[in-house]
Amino acid sequence: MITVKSYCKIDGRTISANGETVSERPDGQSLKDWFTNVHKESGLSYPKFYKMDNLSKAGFLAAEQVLPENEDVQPKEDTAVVLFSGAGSLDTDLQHMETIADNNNYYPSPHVFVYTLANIVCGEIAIRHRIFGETMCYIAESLSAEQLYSQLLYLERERNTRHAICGWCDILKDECKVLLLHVEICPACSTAENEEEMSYFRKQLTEILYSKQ
Amino acid sequence: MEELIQTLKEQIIEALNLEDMNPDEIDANAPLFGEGLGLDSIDALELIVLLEKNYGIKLANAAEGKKIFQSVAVMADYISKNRTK
Amino acid sequence: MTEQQVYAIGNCIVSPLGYTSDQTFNSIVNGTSMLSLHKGTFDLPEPFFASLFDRENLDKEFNCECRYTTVEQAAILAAARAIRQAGIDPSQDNVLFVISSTKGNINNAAHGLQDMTPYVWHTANRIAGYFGNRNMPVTVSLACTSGIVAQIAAMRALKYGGIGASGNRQTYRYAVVVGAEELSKFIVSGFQSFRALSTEHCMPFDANRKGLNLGESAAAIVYTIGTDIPKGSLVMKSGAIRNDANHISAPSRTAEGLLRAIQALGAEKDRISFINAHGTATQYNDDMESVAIERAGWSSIPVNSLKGYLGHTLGAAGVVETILSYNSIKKGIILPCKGTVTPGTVGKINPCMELTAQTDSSRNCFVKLISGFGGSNAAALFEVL
Repeated sequence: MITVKSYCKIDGRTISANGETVSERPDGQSLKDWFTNVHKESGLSYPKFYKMDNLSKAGFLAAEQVLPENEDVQPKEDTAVVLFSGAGSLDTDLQHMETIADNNNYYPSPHVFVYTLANIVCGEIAIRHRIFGETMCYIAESLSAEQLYSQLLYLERERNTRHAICGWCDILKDECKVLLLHVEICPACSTAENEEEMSYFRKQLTEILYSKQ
Repeated sequence: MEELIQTLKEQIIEALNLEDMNPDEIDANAPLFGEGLGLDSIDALELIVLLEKNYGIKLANAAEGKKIFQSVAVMADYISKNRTK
Repeated sequence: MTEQQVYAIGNCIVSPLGYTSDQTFNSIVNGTSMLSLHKGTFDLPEPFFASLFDRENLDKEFNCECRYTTVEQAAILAAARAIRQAGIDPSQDNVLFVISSTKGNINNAAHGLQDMTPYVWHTANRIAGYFGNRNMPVTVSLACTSGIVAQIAAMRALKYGGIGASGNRQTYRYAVVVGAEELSKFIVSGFQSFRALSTEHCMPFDANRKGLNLGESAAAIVYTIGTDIPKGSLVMKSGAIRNDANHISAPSRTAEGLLRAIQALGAEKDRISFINAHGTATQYNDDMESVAIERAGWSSIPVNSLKGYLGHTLGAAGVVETILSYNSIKKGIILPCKGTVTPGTVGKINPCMELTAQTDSSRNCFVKLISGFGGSNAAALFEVL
């Protein structure tokens, strides 16, 4: 059985968790500055946060919201990170392109290049929360409850995973759309047929997606 | 040299995104790696880019950087002797 | 009832060494490689050592008036030949395409984002669309591990089915896994900034290794599921993906992720002919893999890296190297590490230094290891019936 425990949404204006506003972006502020301020206000001192690209920053902030505040940051192999993204790392890809466009001003940056892979955000979340389990990253045209549910179903069938940080994480320039869920996976307590479970999951996801916060 | 050290501190903070730091907090003689600023292998590579971009110094490999990136003072000394811009 | 197993019914490698699996494999058995120094290619200011497609020749082989990029041509060519060998109709709804490419058509964004082509899902749609397939392709993006992760994703889709767009259970009979990568200024400049490239032929697991060589390739495997498996087939037994939770580019010194992936395979040591490692020939990757192998208690099993033949083909690597390892088992041989002179790694391993015959017929399995940025590691266990 797959149960949604908590969720976090980020769009270009608001960060919300479980239906409550966490932060509103001031007019004219860049995503980068907004994320930086949210991190500073959170009281968590994590110097590597400032080195991340916007995709990783967004995923990192959302993961902070969906995991319990009193989380035991012990090594864990029963937790997976499963993310879907549309643009993947394109936002950072374009920055890397700028550093190499002109051979007379050619300074490719390792800091930028390392983020030109969509799965780095999974790695950042894994490092922060000491997740040694499965990290998966897919590129898809749009968020699909069916595709996400299928992946969670596989994890349930493989029987190694009890928790998943999963969802949609997409950033391009000033556009931002994140929906991150913490789901609990219980292989032993599956009672409903998948279709029944799926339709419940889809209903939940739709409600979360279309709720204001 | 004092001026170069100050400039270098600012450049390091910017290049390595050390958001929480200001130049006065960096001890010019303290080790950059290990305990010091908590820098990692990507930071070391980024410092190589910094040397090339701002001072026209080309390092052949990362190992060479180890000696130069001991501290801001050592870096400044190396830059003043080897800079081409 | 015998358990259903996932097995391959078609495969093809499109590489600078040839446009079929046999051509590429035979060239490798003969010790051939197209790795060489390229100056001024892709408008790069610094030379680089790599294995590249002959683009004109590939275009001729593709032989189509339609407009496809190099990576799409190579991917479609590989998929078409694997599908033909499998004898399936790729347009059917019971066929799922799983695509692996780290950077796809990123070259098209060299002058900014002008259309959708640099989106990897778009590239995946073009590949599946060429074959008239209407299912949404699965596109994995797990850095250099993608080629194995894509096969794991395919195996799960075949075993467990999926949920279709209508919310109904959907089952797949076939999965076409396609890995493809073309190099560009984008990729090479980035690896150069990481000081990860050797300016000479790479030396996997060598004490004096100086870095990796990049390469271009595409490969496809058609998998199906069943109980009546023909002799000589490649069976995918298990696969696992684990994270280092340590650093986004530097692999774990104690190989936390890769060791866990290996342990999750449930492999029987005495059945393994060889370990086909990632073996990129960077200092850190090869040491990390050696530590994982030693910690797993596999120090005596022969290890090879195929990077000295085709270079590191990124998103294609896992698929290409699975096919080459499959062919090795079929032919009863273990391919040597090309370029390696004096092995030297932190962990104790047994690198294969010359073409070796496998005389023990009970060793008909191989393990593929692969790791990448983002702390990702994957391992898969294959058996050849």
